[in-house]
Amino acid sequence: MIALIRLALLGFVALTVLYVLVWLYARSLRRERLEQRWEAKGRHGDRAAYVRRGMQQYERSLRRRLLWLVYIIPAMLVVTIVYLLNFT
Amino acid sequence: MMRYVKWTLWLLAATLIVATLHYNLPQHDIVRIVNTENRRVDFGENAFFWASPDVGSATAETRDVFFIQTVRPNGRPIVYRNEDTAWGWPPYFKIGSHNLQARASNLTSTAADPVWVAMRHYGWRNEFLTIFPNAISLREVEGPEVRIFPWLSLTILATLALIGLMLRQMLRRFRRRTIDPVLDEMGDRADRARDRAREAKGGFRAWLDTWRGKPRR
Repeated sequence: MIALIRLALLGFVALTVLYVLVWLYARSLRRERLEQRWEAKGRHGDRAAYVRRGMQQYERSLRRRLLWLVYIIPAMLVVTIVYLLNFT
Repeated sequence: MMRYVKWTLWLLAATLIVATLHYNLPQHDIVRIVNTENRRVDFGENAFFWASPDVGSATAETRDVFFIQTVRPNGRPIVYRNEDTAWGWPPYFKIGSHNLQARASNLTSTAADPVWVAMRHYGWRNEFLTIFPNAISLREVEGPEVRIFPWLSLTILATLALIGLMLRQMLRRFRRRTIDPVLDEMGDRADRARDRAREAKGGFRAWLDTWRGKPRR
């Protein structure tokens, strides 16, 4: 039981590190795309405000929520491996 | 000199990575099982190459380990251990070593009437350390010439490569979008400071020059 708890804790820590990295990366991608779109649209209005509005929309988007897959996929993978290897 | 040191270190790192992958990734052998047994093992220098006790059991200095003794199609023997990896490394999450042992015993055969099985395993056999590959799963196959394509290993390698590329991409992006602007700003500031210093110095020189008399005739 101790070993399982240790695996869960270590896994959680490792996946949290990965989650933060992917989160920062995805946000950076979105920010750059917003900056480019602002330029392409003819630079109307305040650049910072445009980007900020776009980022607020991004925070509510499905794409942002899909980041939770960083936790979900490995957990599903472990369950699948345990089943396939030991019970089929 | 430094170049050789650098290359040696790179070579060592590469060897370590390849060895780790080769040890931990699954491989298939086509073998004929000749015996299965259960033997007590006292772990010594080779303790690193043994997995964990059965899941839920106590950890001890010595314990009984299942072994599966087999012969390859070329007649040479290969002996596997059959241990739970449980929740430890490598992450096969194998908790059914007792069931696997029963299935291996069930498929025991003689040379006269062979039954061939594909043994999926990880690890190495080394006589100098007395270490054995750990059997993960087995299934019956038609004959000794069956070839099994290593889908699983290739998938794992591809995934690892993908993660590596992704990390590299993230690092590059971080450098371009976060570190470079700061460095540029610092560079600009340094340039401006230098200009100002030069100007100031120029001003001081000019002021000094005002004390010099005009060249005498």
